[in-house]
Amino acid sequence: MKRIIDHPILGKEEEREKIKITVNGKSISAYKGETIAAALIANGCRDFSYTRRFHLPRGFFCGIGQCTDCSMIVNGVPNIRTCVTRVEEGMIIETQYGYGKK
Amino acid sequence: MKEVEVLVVGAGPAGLGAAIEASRYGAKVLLVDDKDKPGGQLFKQIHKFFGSKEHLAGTRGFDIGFYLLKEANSLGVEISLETKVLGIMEKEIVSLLVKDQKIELLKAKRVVLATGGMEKSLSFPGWTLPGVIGAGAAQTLVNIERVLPGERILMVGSGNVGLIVSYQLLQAGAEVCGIVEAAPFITGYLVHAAKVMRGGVPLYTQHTVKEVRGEKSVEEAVIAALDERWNPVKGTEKTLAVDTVCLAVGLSPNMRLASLAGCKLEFFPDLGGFLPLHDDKLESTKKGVYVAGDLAGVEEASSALDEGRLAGISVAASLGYINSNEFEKLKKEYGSRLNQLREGPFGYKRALAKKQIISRFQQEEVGGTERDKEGETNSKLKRYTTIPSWSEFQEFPGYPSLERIKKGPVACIECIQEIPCDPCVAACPFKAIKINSHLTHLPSLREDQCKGCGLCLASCPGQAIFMLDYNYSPDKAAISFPYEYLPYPKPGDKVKGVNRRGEPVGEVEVIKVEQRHAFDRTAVVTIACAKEFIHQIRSIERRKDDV
Amino acid sequence: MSKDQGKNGDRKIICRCEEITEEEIREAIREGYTTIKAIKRRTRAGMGLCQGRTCSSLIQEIIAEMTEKKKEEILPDTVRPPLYPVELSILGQEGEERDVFSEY
Repeated sequence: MKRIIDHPILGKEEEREKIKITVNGKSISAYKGETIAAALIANGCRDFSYTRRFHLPRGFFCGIGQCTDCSMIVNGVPNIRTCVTRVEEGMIIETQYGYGKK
Repeated sequence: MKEVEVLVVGAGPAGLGAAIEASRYGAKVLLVDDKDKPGGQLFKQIHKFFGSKEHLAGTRGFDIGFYLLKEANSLGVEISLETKVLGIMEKEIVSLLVKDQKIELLKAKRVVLATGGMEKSLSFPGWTLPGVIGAGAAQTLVNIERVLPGERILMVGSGNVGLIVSYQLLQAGAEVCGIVEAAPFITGYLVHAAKVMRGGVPLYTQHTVKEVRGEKSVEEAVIAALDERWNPVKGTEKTLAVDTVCLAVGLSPNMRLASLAGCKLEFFPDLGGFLPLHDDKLESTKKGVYVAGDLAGVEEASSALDEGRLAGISVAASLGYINSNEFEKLKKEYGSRLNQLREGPFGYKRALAKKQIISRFQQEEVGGTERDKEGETNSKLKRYTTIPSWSEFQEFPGYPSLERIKKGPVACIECIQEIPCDPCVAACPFKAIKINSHLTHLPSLREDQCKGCGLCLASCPGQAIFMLDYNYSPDKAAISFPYEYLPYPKPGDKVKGVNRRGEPVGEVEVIKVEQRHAFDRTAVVTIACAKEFIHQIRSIERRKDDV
Repeated sequence: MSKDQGKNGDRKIICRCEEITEEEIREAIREGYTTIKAIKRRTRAGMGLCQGRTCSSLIQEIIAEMTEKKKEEILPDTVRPPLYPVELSILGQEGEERDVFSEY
């Protein structure tokens, strides 16, 4: 998906510090201070986790840390709600299957 | 154990309002929020708010957020972020989880709960697919994170949230492929619907989402018409190629902490669902625990702010910082400010429900269970399925007469529903716009006093005022309108003029694109068109190339 | 229901966290479980990480549709502390905190 470079009300995007994160082994760039979910969606990734019972994809849904659909494994820790967790340099992010890794 | 006089839970408009007023009168206030930034949902509200001067009407939500934070800071409100209230126990003890690391206990003499609302949902096959998101989530993504949730979006729900978020998605550069509404009419303000319709978004009233399909995320959505019993009509299915489906089907009070604290809850459908009973001072059935904002009944940000302020004042009074005469005066003042926002066809049900809450609270004190009968409905609301025609608009007091239009530039106010809003009145230096005694009354145009200066155009949060200049040239009329999409057109551009429904009417020439400080980021575009289109053209086609 | 049945198909999930389908909720209601609390115990709907924040009102609708009950009579499930998930190691911190939690 696209980042919003210019906006009629919010103006041009401010200069932000770029950082690198690793998503399922692939290095992608993100902006310091943004949520993991925003960085992933901006990079075209939408399926964040797969469910335990039906093995179906889930992603960003409530956006306020309530529904837990966006949970991923971050730096080895599962169940991190990516919609309310901000990216950090070198973060390692992996798709969550059920309660943990595939 | 740390002790505070007042603990306010939730730093949205209600919580900020409560913290500001309580500390203004001298109470020591701690304001906590579970997020890492204060403001609740205010900072993603990039549109101009309705209301009156006291409610900062005409100001964009995020600016109101900045003002409130500034005020809270200057009054010495202590704000603790990433602080979650785990529970409120007997003996006024509150347990807090700070930064997910540490549990702290706190003793608070008074607690104000301003925990806001939660988005309701609608379930259909495929609604768990990535790409189906809440409207609030979409708004956070575009207006805070500046990332589009998708490029082709279907909105579900034509209430104000659905309409406003659709508009903001267009502004951010996404395509909104349609707004689906189960009711047989547009449920939000018509002026909000008019904005997105001028932008070319189709509205499907009496429709539902039957299914959303996709492998790893949304690839298409199937919508269908509904019959009178709300069942999908076979054969009316329509498949839309969308990558995102946005749910805006209402909010319910986030009453979990109130419930945990022991506040008595009851169901008030017109205010979103189960909520804590409270009195006219906003104190719940649990002594010392006050409630405000969407928790005390889902409304909108301006009422949440005023209700928060009233709760803060009540708390300060109960702690002895305000004497009873002064308190009664303030309570009356804020009560009437709140009542103003609950007038008119959109507000009266909420006003009645609020009264019921208070009467149920009083009965609870004496052990009764009776609910007041619903009062007389005073709704004169005509429900629209689409934007009305010119001839319908002409019936309203803001539309200038044909004679006046032929005389020269004049404002044309297409505001036809009684909503609580009046910035246009103050915007006119010639006092040509009048709203009678009530904030919800329709603006009327004193057409002989209108000089056609155009200052009212950008002041209208509903973008419902246009400028018509019939005598622009011998064969052309000029029309001015607010415009908030990028890229802006340039003078000399030949573009398509569109009518109120976003349909192209004819080629027009852009004459002027004005951006003034007073317009607060709303551009005013003037185009020249054939005179016959003066009652039809109300905008220009949005350019859909990359911004 | 088999784990690999249909990718999306007609399956309509009600409780997103525990992946409980509409049919399972309806079945429970037909069996006589007609409160949000009873349905939670029978099906696990609302027992997941979000604690019924999303599905509670959907289940309320289904109960209202299938029984004589009015919506205001279909109460949300009792809210229990802690209101947010807390790691056990943090809950187990030494000191007075533990005593206070035992007050519930």
